[in-house]
Amino acid sequence: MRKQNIIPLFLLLLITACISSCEKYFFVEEPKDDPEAIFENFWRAYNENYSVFEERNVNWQELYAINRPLINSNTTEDELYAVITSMLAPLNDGHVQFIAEGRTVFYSNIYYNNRIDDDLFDKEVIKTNYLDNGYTSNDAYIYGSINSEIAYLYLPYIADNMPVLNDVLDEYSSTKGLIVDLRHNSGGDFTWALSSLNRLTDQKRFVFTSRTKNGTGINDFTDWYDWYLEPGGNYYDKPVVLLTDRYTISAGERTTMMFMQLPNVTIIGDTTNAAHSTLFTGQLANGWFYSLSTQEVKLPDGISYEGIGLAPHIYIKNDLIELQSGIDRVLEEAISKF
Amino acid sequence: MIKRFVFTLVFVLLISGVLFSQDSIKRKNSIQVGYGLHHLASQDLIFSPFILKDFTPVNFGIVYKHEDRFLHVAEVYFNSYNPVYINTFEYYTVPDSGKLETIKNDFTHVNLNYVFAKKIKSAQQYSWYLGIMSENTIHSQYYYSGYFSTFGYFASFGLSAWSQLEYRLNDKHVFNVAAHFPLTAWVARSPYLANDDEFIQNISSHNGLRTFFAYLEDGSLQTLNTLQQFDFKLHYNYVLSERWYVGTAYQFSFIHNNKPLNLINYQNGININSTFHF
Repeated sequence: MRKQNIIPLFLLLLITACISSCEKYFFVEEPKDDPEAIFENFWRAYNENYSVFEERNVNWQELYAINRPLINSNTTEDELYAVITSMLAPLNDGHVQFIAEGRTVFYSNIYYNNRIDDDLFDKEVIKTNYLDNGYTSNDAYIYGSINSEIAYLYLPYIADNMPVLNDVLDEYSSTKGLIVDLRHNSGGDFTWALSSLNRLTDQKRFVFTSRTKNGTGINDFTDWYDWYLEPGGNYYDKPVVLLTDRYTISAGERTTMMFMQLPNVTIIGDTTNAAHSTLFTGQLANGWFYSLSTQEVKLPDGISYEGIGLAPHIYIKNDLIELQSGIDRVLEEAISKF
Repeated sequence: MIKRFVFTLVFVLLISGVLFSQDSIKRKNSIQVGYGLHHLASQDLIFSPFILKDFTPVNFGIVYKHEDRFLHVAEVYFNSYNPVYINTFEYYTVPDSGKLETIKNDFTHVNLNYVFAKKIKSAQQYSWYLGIMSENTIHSQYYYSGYFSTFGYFASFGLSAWSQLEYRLNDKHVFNVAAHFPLTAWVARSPYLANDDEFIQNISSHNGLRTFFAYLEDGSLQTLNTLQQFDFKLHYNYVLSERWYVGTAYQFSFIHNNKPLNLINYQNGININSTFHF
């Protein structure tokens, strides 16, 4: 092979090898894996992207001033973890969670972290003591009738299980009304509720508005985006009771907001968890994962209930002793409405 | 499914071979199938400041060429990666303290390209082609943070400058170098923090195809100031017969985009391939 023929090929290989090895040149420098850098990275991620400090009455700058001096190059992993989680706790936000190797997930929300009132809901009691024979039960929903006169639907999350509502309305069309149970609903994708609740409204209804952080500045948000529930299918005009509790969260709460705008709906139970935003997740240099809220959400009354929760029309909580003996007081209150 | 695909491909190639076996004139068509080992390094500041990396054997490509007065090339490439910054680890959940393991991210890259080119110079050993390419890149990305997942996407549909140099060392050894970069492209990317109301509205149809087009609708026309994309391929082919070539190829692909935040993505790959001329 002649020398002049080889040179171009060699040059091309050389250029390619250079390009493929220039990682440092291409990429933005990664955050460093040391306690101080991790702390700074963590604090900045929330400072730039967390959307509801004001609603949750947390002064993030002040928390920095208090906690930054506690971190130095000798800070141990246990100490760093303790400082970070102590800063997340005041947010009391169901969307804020922290996952670290070999540890139990830290939930900023006091209900989730301490499992307060977690055992005041029991699906087995409903199936055993309230639903008529022939009910349907799986991981996505439970539905059936109560006393042959009320339709009942339990939804543990909001996703592609939502269209089952249409089946329930058809199958139990002769009943007096419907109970939708969103207690311990872990959320999901509220757009499934938007497209599945259309038989429950006879007119287009404004259900909530939201906006999302779109920059690192404190006031960097998108424009407000209005969400509407549109009518569709055969209108269901019978009474509807919605059940909620402190574990009704996120898309479960957005779904509750939709029900709140319907005139034939009574909400019974406990106030919802109060985490209405969508969430974003990130990773720190030592591999730990965090999640944070990135939206503000307001009801048609123009008020954000983030950190407050959606209060029921009738406040009632189950009693643990009663529940263990098979009595779901919240469900019984709902049944009494028909 | 894969078996059926391979069988169909082999069948088509064999039938083509029989049909064209009497043809002694210059072959105008070729189809090449390739498989390779690829490395990805990706830093998308929408999702993470860290460089996510993976080395994967799940990479395929099919290239069809037709050369007469002009050269037409249709290419499909598929890559699958599980890039991470730090390896997976175990953690526990409340209330049952069940042990869970973090999940690796899941990226799928698809490229669908069409080239229209003309041989502009030909010597004894060299042939130089220049043309334009419809360069279409789609990246679907699932980022996993413990039990949470966030979906991200990058799609660019561009008009690219394309060039290829073919060098025949002798009757048995053929080198081929091709490079291309988009001059302008319609680019759609995840929004800042991945989930804003428009994104949520886009997924509300719960229909994959509608959602895909809704993402694209939110894109914008970009040029070299915001999108720098460059692909380079170096092929070596050994001529087994008039119809069959086997070879190896090195592929390099680079993407830089800065709307809404910086994205750097590069892939290196070594492929083995087989080409059938008919």
